[in-house]
Amino acid sequence: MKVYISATLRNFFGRNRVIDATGNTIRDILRFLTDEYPEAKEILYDGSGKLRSFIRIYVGNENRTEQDKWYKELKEEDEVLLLPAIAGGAPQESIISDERRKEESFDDAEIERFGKHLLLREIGVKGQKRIKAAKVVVIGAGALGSPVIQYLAAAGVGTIKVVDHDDVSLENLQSQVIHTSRDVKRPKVASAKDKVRNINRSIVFEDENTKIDAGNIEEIIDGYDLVIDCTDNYKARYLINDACALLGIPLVFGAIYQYEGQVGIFNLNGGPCYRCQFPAPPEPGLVPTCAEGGAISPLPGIIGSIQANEALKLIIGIGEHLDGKLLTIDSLYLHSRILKVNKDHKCPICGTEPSIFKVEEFDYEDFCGLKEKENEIPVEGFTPEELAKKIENDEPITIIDVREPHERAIRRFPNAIAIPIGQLARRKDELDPTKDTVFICKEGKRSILAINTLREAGYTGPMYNLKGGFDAMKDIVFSHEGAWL
Amino acid sequence: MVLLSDKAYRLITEHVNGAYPHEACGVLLGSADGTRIDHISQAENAVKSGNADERFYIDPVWLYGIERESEKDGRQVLGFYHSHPDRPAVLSNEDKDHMIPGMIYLIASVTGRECKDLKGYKKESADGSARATKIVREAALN
Repeated sequence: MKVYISATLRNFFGRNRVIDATGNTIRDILRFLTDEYPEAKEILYDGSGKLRSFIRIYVGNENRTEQDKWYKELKEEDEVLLLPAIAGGAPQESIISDERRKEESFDDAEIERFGKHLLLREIGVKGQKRIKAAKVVVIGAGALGSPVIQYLAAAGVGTIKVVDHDDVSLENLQSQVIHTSRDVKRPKVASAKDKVRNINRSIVFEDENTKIDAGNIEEIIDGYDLVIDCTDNYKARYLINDACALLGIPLVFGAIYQYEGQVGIFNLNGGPCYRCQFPAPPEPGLVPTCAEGGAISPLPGIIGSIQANEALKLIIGIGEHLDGKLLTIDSLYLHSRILKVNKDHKCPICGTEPSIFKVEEFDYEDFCGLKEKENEIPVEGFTPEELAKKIENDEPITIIDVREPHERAIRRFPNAIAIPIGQLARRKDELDPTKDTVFICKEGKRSILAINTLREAGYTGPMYNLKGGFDAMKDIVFSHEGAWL
Repeated sequence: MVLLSDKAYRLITEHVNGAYPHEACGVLLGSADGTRIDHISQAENAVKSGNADERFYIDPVWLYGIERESEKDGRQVLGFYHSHPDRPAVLSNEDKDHMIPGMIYLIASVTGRECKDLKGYKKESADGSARATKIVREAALN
């Protein structure tokens, strides 16, 4: 059977114009070609064995590219044509319309201020006007929010809304460079507002000192062009993703953990969403949050700066961006890679048959394992004050510290037996079931997991959790130091 | 580096400017060693629906005809050109997905019937990334 190879593909077929192939179906001919010409396999099929999108197979004038037509018997006089599909599309447009861009203008000071943007051919006056017209919501004014908010402000984003319910604490200052020592105990949004005003007073800064939940998230982001997720927990990520998917607002996602970070763009023009890549969160307690696991100081600076850069590219409509991709960076060994995120057509929020139509209808607490399951015996706990009293009164209790060795090295819990979570089940005989046993960790979450693990392992003694963990215990002052030290 | 003859440059710009605000596309033809583009063949954009201003498709059977014809003239298909009306001369994701390794892809950025930019790209392997390829107009050399 004669097979004509398009000039565009001949390099992969020994530069042959026509190949006399054995076989009388397209299936057999393709097999013959890939056997004879090993290079052809790479040009015909992708990594998963699917015919590449640019390959077309014709028999005469008839398109037989679809696989179900590969088994039809061919006639001796048929000519099989291996041709390319030459196609393409226009690059991504800006998420800010031309109409909105045209409404903006600059005064002399702005032309001076943004001169370095105006010098860039891809940005220029048009791009800078789009930046000025943009309305962006940043959720989280912490480690990732610090570079994101400051760079968006410096770049001239016209309206920036910052949402965070926390106050600045001393431990934040290691990575949250938008806050300073003077801001400790102030709301993070107030501190962020001051910094933005110092950068550029003409920016419209909207501060929301609220915790996002299913009841308020849609209202918070509705009407904005872009949302940047700078939060540090799964519940917030799913809440933000779902609200963005339902309202059709693109999302720049970022996350950090110890030395590694991730950046991705979701919900852009019907593209994949966060759920397409991460259908469910990990088991609670399995992955420590950034607050528990730690992170090297400049890491959020790197990841947040990439988030801000992606946001600006979307606003201006230039370059290549992480739509349908996830960039991962390992700052310890300086590895980075870009993973492809495919749209999941069965996705409950952005798939073809969605089952979530409103953020409120979905139980995020339950989904992220934050709610105690009904059939589970609830875990009892002591407040730091209650535990302190027991220690002072010398009550017979066993204290188990389930933190990892490097966490214990920072601050030891006196008189506690150290058993990391992974060893609990097999070391359960070290516990005395006739005594009350109190479990402590950093924030009081992993200790609940520890209690449940021991229950499953068959331990029956009374177990209590230290509410709020060692962190909450810090402010307790004992009447006599001996009890503590 | 690929040389672009004055005639080929003129034919490409005339085509893409005339098609504005729609996308125009065509075939780059030239010497068998692939170093010089000296002719083109205008293709009809087979995207008929309303989005011909942002998509293009060349009929494979038409291309087959062009290949055979140009071989008779001693020319070879070296690659393809298409325009991005009102958009920069950069590859879109769809462009990249359809790139054949080794072929030259020229993109013309056209605004208001004027070609503002012309850039070349090439992919080395099917799963590799696309890279910019230097396109030198012969007029610039003289």
